[in-house]
Amino acid sequence: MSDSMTTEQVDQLIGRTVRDSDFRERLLADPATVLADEGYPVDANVVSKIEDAQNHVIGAVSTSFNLVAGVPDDGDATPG
Amino acid sequence: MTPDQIRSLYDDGYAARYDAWFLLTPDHGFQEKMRIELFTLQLLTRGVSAWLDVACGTGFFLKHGRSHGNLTVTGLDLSPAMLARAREANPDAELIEGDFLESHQALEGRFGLVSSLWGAYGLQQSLDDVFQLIDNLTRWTAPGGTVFMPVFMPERFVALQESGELMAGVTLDEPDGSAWTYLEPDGKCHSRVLAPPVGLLSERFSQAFERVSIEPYPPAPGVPMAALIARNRH
Repeated sequence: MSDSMTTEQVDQLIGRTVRDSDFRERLLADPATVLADEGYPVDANVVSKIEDAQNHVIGAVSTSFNLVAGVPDDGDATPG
Repeated sequence: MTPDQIRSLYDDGYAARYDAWFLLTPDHGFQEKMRIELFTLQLLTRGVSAWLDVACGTGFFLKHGRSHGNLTVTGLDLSPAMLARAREANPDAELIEGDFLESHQALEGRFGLVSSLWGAYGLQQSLDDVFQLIDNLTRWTAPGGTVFMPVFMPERFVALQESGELMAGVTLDEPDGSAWTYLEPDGKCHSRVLAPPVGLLSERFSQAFERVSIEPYPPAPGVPMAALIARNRH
């Protein structure tokens, strides 16, 4: 079971991740713990999307650097 | 800049190096900016069934910003060279070559999320054109939907100039930072890019959305921007 986040809470979260690099890195590293510590509902769907976002960012950078370097894209942006 | 000037600027060579120069490089805070925007898109596409990226360029964000596989993605761009890259990256996307100042009736009210990234609005010739773009983004957004449009922060351009930290090649055309030019090392020129006060842009969105938030990106000696997010279109 998990609590749902409202759109306003998601917007607060986006806002803080935009302006606060340290918070963003902590959140990406361990979303469930950071959400709980910061008083947000631990919404399993949001946690999953944050984890996906982290994987996509890593995958995007990796894939795109490979493309720039001439390595064929396997079409999958996520690592592993 | 005119549409022909923009098409000439964003040619095949430019499209080939675009992601490396403007998205992936850690220089000027560009990679961190890309990371912020991908993260934001991942959360904003949650619960959305259709996303339109206006001035989609190489399609990098359409490819990597999706949070789920059931999302229908559409891109609109003026440059055939950039769209060719976008097609390679997003074979499932509807990609439209066209001017975002035109009405594109077929797009009206279709999208839960409409984005326009990397300051494409600044390449217009007047503030009226920027307002026309905002009105189009609004019309293409479904009722209850969201617009995400990162915006330039003119006052930070001025602060960077005063501290001698303006990015190499960038010069201010107006002392208040409301227009600037970027001459690239290879001679490509973004001439007189518009950076109207953020409050003017926010106010325009506020006429059609329940709320508009502005979140400045962390300070970086590159191109100072903030995330503008307009929520819940009337």
